[in-house]
Amino acid sequence: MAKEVFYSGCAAAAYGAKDARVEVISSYPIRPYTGIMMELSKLVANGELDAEFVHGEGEHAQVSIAYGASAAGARAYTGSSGVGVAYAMECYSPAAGGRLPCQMAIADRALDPPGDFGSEHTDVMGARDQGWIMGWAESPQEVYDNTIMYYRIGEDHRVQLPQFCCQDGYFVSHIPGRMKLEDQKAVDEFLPPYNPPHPLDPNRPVNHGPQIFPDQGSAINVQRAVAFDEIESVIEEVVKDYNKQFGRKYSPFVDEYMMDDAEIAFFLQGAHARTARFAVNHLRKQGVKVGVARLRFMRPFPTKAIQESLSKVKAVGTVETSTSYGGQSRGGNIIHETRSALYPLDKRPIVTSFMAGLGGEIVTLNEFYAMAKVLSDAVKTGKANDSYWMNFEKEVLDTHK
Amino acid sequence: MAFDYDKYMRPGKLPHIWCPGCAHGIVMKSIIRAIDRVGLDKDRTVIVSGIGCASRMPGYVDFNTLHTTHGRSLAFATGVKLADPSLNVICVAGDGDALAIGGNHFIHACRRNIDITMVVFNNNIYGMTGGQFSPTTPHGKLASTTPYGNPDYAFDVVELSMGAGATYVSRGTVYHAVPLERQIADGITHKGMSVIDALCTCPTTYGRRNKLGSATDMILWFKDNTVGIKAAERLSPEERAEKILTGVFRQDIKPEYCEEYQKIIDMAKGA
Repeated sequence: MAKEVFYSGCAAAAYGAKDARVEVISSYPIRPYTGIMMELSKLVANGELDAEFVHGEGEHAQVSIAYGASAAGARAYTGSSGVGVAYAMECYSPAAGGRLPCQMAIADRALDPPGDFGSEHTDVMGARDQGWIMGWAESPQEVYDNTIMYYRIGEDHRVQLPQFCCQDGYFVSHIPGRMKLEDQKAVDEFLPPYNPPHPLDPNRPVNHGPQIFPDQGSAINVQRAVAFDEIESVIEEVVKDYNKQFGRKYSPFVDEYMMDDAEIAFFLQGAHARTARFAVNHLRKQGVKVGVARLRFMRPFPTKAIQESLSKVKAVGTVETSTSYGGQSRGGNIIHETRSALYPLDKRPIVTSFMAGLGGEIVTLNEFYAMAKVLSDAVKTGKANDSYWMNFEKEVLDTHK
Repeated sequence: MAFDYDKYMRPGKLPHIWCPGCAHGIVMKSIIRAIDRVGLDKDRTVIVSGIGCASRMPGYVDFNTLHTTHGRSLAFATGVKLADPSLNVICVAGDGDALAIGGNHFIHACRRNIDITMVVFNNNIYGMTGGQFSPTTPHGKLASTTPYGNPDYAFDVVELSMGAGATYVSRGTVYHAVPLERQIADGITHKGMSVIDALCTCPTTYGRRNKLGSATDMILWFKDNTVGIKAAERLSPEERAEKILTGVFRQDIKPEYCEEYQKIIDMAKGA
């Protein structure tokens, strides 16, 4: 039976993994991810989840365990935060290149410095080009749903890729929200047991992670790239099925709010989209035609869906919650790919970026109002900076007055 | 006259983050008194830590301090010591930090016999993150992630250090604060890798769960359940098996890493 509950994002991830019937869980404590492993250790200890629960001796070992379990044919689950995500970096490419669809829950956290435990997308954004599926949830419900959907996407034989199932640390991971746990039978129907194409098997020996020569390398890279060609249609299929089976209304790639008649838009991923929608409600009352487009997948980066959504407006502000020091925009990195995605269009909006929500700070309503002012001005003047560091830029500070 | 800790502290950084009843402060004070006893120059002394409760200590003390990544205090300290072997380098680490995520660095620092003093604040648990079992949680004990008892077997820090090649190895407890101070002082003056296994307590996440009594009870437990290695010789094998041995287990003279390294440099330059 489906059940209404009041869970944090951490509990939602753990219950998503439980209902996905994960078989091997590797863990290592680090805030805020710790909440997920603690919940899972309880579920395993209470006999509610039949899985192996292992402590790695660090995140590097943790992801290696998930790799091994996945290679052996198990549905493997792991996770981390902040510096832990960074420490396991070496393991990401092998898991993706080995086409092992293990899942890693990310409750994101700022890297050191500042070492302040706050939410920031910087940790796992650093691993975005390793060949893992990656996207942010904005609520505990979406964390639960994504956990289940990601396994089906990743385990699809057209895809066969590992997944970073991300949520904002604290804002989602530690704030409970009303949500629904689905009926186990219905989840089983949606997500059949993992059918590994090439598991380690003494009766049919295979080799994972073989040593190869340079002339064989590019062929393997191409295989991984081809998986990302297939993936968008698989995601569309899976999200559609999930919506149908469980009565959700997810759009596969870009979640729109008041975008149809909007002139300016906030473009962002994760929990800050909720504040953005509140800001839009307020701004709309003042006659500002503003909307929100929330990115549900960073990898694959959904170019077509972004073109469709953002070509409706005249100015877009990407709200960055991670850093790209020295990058083209001298700010964050979502703007780079967003501009790239829009470049082929004949009529494209002005794209700027806002550096906000760094080090775990909340992005306040006032900051969204200031961003809207910058975007409205950009529509009038046809110009905007590449990036604005919120609360540190003279231009932005002036709009607060 | 009472010992003047303020001389070595950064009072502005207090209060500390340790829970009421935590014994980390006893180890910290033992380190400070040991440094005073040896007479180290504050400005020529570097204290390096990783991540965790114990690793917060360098923030509170007035030396050159380096708070680094999880498990890697010894790796950073190796860099410090090689860059300037005249510095006095002391590492502080919890058991999870030193022996799980930092286990690799730990054994290799011992193997090299580099002149660093490593104090392991061994309280049998990951305290800061909420009481998960660590490499020194005894078999069968409860942790937040082993609610039916720990299936793993613990590292013996002394055996591990000796096996890996550390040349000064000792074990003390927070009940025996004066001998602990002496061991740390000996470790500092010892030329080579010194490991002090400082048995410590975490009443909040370990003691409560395992019903070990109050914070004081946990410290008093060391009084009744440890025995010095000399006194242990008078016990029967059965009696000895029930006790944790404390004292200095090894104090050997072997070539030290920075000196050996310098010899290579001198030889190569001479050639």
